Amino acid sequence: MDLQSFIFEQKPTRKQLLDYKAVTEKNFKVCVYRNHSFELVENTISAYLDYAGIGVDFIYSDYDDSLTFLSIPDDADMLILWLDISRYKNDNVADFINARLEYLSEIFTKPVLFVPFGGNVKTENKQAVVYSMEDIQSQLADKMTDLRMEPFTGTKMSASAVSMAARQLGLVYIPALLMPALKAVVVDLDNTLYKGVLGEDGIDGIELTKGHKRLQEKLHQLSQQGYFICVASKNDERDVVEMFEKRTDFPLRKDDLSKLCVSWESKASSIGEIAGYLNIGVDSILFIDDNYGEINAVQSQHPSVHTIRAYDDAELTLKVLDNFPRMRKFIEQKEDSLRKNDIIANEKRRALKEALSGDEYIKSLGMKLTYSINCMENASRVAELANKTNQFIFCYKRYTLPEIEEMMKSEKSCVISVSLSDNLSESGIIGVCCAKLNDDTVEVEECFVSCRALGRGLDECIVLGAIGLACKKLGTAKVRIGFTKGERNLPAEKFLIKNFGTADSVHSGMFSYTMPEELVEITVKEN
Amino acid sequence: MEERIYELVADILGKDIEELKSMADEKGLWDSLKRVEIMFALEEEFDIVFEADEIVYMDTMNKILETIGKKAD
Repeated sequence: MDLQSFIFEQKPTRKQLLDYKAVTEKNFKVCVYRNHSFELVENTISAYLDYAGIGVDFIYSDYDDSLTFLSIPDDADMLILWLDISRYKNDNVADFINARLEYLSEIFTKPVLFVPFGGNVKTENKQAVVYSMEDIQSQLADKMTDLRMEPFTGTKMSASAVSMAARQLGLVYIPALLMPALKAVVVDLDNTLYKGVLGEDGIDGIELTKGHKRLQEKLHQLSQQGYFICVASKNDERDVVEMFEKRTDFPLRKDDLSKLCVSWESKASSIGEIAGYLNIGVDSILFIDDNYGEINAVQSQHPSVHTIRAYDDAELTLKVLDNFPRMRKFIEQKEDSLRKNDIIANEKRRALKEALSGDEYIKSLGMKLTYSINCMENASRVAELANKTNQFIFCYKRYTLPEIEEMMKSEKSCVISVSLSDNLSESGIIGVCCAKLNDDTVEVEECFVSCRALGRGLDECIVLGAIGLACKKLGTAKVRIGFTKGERNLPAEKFLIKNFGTADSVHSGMFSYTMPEELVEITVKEN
Repeated sequence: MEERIYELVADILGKDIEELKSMADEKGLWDSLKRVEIMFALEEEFDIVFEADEIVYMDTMNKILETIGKKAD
């Protein structure tokens, strides 16, 4: 079944959604903690979760207004707090719910999605992402509730409200909290970014329809948010460059683009080139093209790439993009906006590296490393990096924010976050070491480094420097370093073999490392 | 219309249509959630809205047919 067509073109009825049978294996467990019924949502969510490539086993709590949070399954990957606020009659309901959310943070460290119905509850809780269903309320108004069915459904939500909630949860919220966000959008040009064919209609002949304008505005916005926006087009590159210069009515500007792949090569090879240039996996890329054949060809060579088939009516393409799974970030990180400039700066670094010797190259860049020990304001970025890094990561421990905060607070553990900048760009936090004191040994539980920071001649300094500081903080040089071989962490494995002679699952020994302060400016900060 | 109603309900309950027809006067064929899905499906299919007391009343197939028949008239 063509799910893009089923979900976005056909506007499926409740019955059609009910009849849809999930095909994705249930690979996640989601606990639904509730005081009203969620089952009607689950009944119609499968198509949306399949579109997101996720299979979910929903585990239900009893109906619990008191929010005791007893018997939350240990192995739940996330928790949905599904609350009918109208059931609470006291004035202090917001205080009560916030207090329970604080308690929940102490006993459950995975992502929490709080979905209040029938009232708004403001929360500062860092673990909980709130979906207030205001979008549904503004569309349905008083049709959001249906009291006729409440005795049977166990909820005041109407059929329409439940269906819309299923769509938002299945397409946007659940994928965003269970999987890392996508990193790049690669767009075709002709009949995707505008109406017409550049090579035939010319720069002035291609049409920026209202829908295409809105689509370009969205892509511009995504670029500002730190997504890589790239072009893969079969066209003449000079025409494309001239088009971006002359069409000043285009909301998407050349400066928004991280990479232009304009040639007569296959789009599949362009996607590969873009992934290599950005140093990301193709499974982090969303490819948008109006041509079925191009999409099929790309998917056959890169089965894990995500795709949107663009429509003549670009408003519909925009609708798909707006609701595409894993294209929404609920916590913006400073590093998101730095990422694009960092990639551009990488080109200049490559040129310098070719021209200079190793040490000269490092010195020429004026690199600065800042090691922050247990810096709570970095916790959010540390948790994000823990869940996004796939290549340079020792053990694939996907820490949650509460877990990072806990390690930062404890005297028997520490989190060293490493920030990098040079004369060309500021990269923000790019590396982390998480260590725990176990008797007289520092257990290096995890190390991970963003791939865009690797290969600048500082890999050892970033990782070994962080481990050294962890040893100093925890008071012993005796270390054990864990390693778990995965599908993609070969760079981490090679690093361990190079520096420790082995990538056995656990390396033990006495650790020492001297920071190369003659090459790099080093700053150590501690909370 | 009758055939379509049986088709929808049989589909939701996972039963054979003929089997369902043979149980037209039987109560207890569905639990409360299945009842709701049946009501939603019938409202969507026939573009009708059931009153609260009608929903309570329709606890057998024959009563569903009777209620929808009256609404169609």
